Amino acid sequence: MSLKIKTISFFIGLLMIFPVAQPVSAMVGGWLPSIVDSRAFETPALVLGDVVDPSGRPFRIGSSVELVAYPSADVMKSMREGDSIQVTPVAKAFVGPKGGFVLRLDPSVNLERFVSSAGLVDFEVRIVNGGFYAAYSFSESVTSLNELTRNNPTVNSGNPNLKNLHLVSLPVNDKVRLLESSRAGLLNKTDICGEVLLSNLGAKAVAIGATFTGGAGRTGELTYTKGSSSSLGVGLSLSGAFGSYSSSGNVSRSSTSSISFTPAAGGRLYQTYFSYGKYGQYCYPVGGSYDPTDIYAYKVQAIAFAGGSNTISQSAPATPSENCVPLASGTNFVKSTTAASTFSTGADTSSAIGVDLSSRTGYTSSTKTTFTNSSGTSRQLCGVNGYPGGSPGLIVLK
Amino acid sequence: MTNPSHTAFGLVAIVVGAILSGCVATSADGPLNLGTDVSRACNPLPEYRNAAFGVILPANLPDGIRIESVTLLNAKDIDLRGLYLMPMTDERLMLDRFPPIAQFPDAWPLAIDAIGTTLNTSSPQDLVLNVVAAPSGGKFDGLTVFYTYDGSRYRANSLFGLTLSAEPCS
Repeated sequence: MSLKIKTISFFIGLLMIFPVAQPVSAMVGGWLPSIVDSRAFETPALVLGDVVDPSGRPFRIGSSVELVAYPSADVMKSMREGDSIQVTPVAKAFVGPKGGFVLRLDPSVNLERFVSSAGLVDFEVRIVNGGFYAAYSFSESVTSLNELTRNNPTVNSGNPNLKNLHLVSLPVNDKVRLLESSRAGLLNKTDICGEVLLSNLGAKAVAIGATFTGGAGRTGELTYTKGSSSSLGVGLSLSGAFGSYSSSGNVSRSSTSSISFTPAAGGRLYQTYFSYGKYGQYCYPVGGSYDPTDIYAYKVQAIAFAGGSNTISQSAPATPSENCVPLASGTNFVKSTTAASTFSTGADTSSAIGVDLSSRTGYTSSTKTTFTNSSGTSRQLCGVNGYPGGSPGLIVLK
Repeated sequence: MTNPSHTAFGLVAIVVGAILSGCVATSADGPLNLGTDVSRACNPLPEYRNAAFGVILPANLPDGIRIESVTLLNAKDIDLRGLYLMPMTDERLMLDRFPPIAQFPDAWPLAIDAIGTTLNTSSPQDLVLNVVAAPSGGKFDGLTVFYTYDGSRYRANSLFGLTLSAEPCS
C-alpha cells in the first residue's frame, strides 16, 4: 500500500474513531466553498426535516446536508446504458439539534438549466454521518422554486410535503465513508458526483387511479391527460442487491399522450407504463475520472412515460357513512384532483429489484375520474378519507 | 403646509370608501379551509334547474366564524338566490331540488339564513346554496365564502363546481 493511501486511510480511521465535532464554522469553508450555507438566507425553507439512524437516534450536530440538482428529465430520458450525468450542488446545510436541518435556496442560483419541459426540477438531499447515509429525491415545480426565492413569498410557498421530512438513514459502506471524509475538510478536496445508468429495466406498470362502482347503471372511468404528472417512488440501496432497496423519495414524470379508459362497472385499478432505470451514484476527486469502483449507492427510479394502458379488478375499499352523498340518477360527478391517493406499491418493479415502488398521480390536476349514475334511482357516492366534493382519496359509487 | 384635519378627513374618506365599495382586503389564511381538489357535479335539465347545492363545512372549526357573503366562481347563466345553514345529519347534501326537503325532511325545516350568522360549532352545519340556472342551462366552477373571524375578514375558496345542462352530462 502506498504511503498516500496509508495516509488517507489513517485520516479516515481517525474520522471513524473521533466523529466530527469541530465547530460548524470550521467546516463551512472546506466543503463546497462556492455554496452559501442555508443559514445565511431568510427565504422560506425548501426542505425542512430531521434525520435519524436506523435505531432512531438523531444524526450528530454538524453532519453535512447537501442538495443536488439533476439535469432535466428530458436529458435523463436520453441516457443510454453506460451514460453518466453530473449532479450539481445547489444548497448546503448542517444538521442541528435533534437531527433537524433546513435547506434554503440561494436566490442568486440559476436553476433554469435543470428545468424539464414539464416545468419541474429533480433534486436529491444527501446527508452523511459517520456510519450512516440518508438520501431523498423529489421534484419541484419551477413556479414554486421561483416563489421560494422571491423577496416576499407567500406564507405557504413550496411543497408542504417537504416541510416535515423525516429521513431514516442506511448503514454506510467504505465509499460513503470516503465521501464524508472529503466533506469534513480533512482531505481538503471537492468531489465530482454523478450517476451512471447501469441498466434500463424496461416499461413497468404504474397505478394512476382507481374507481369503484356497484351494480347495473353505475360506471367509473379515468382520463389521464397529456401532460399529467405522476409522482413515482425512488428506491435506494447501498449494495444494489435484489431486495435491498428502500424508499427514498419520489420523482415526477409527465405523460406525453392522453389515455382514456372506457367507462365500466366494478372495481378497477388503472395502470399505464413508465420506463425505469437502475443508476449507480458515484463521486471522485477533482482531477480524476469516473471508475465503476467509485459507485457508492444504487438508485432505481422512473426514466420516462412509456404509454399504454391496463386495468386490474379490485374490490372496493371501506367508506365511512359520513363520507357519502346521494348521487341522483342522470347525474355524473367528475373529480380532477390535486390530492390523489398514493398507491404504496403502485409501480410494478419487484421483478427487477425485489420491491414495488410507490406511485401517486394528481400533481397537475390533469387526471379526471368520472362516476355516472344512470341506474334510475339515487345512489350513494362515498369517499374513503372524506366526502367526494372535498378530499376523498378513493371514491366508491355504491 | 398640509392641514392635519384635512389629512385625517382624507384617510377616513378612503377607509369608508373602501368599505362601501367592498374593497377591504381579505386573506385566504383563516381557519375555514374548503380544500384544493377540483370537482364537478353535472345534472341534465329540467330536473334540478332550481337546485340546492351543498358545501360541506369541515369539522372542528373554531367558534366565531361569521358568514358574510358567498360569490360563485366563473358563473355562467346561473344565479345564486339564497344561502342557508342546515344542521348536519348522517347524510350530506351534494345536489337536490330546492328546497332539499326530499333528502332532508328533518334537517331542512331547521335551516336558517347563512348571511350574518355565526357558525354553530357545537352542532355542525352545512352550507346550502340555492342556485337557479337559465332554461338552457348554466354552470359555475366553485365559490368563495367571505367570513369574519376574531376581528378579521377572510375568504375561503371551494373548487367544487356545478353544471346544469340541457344536454346529457358526459
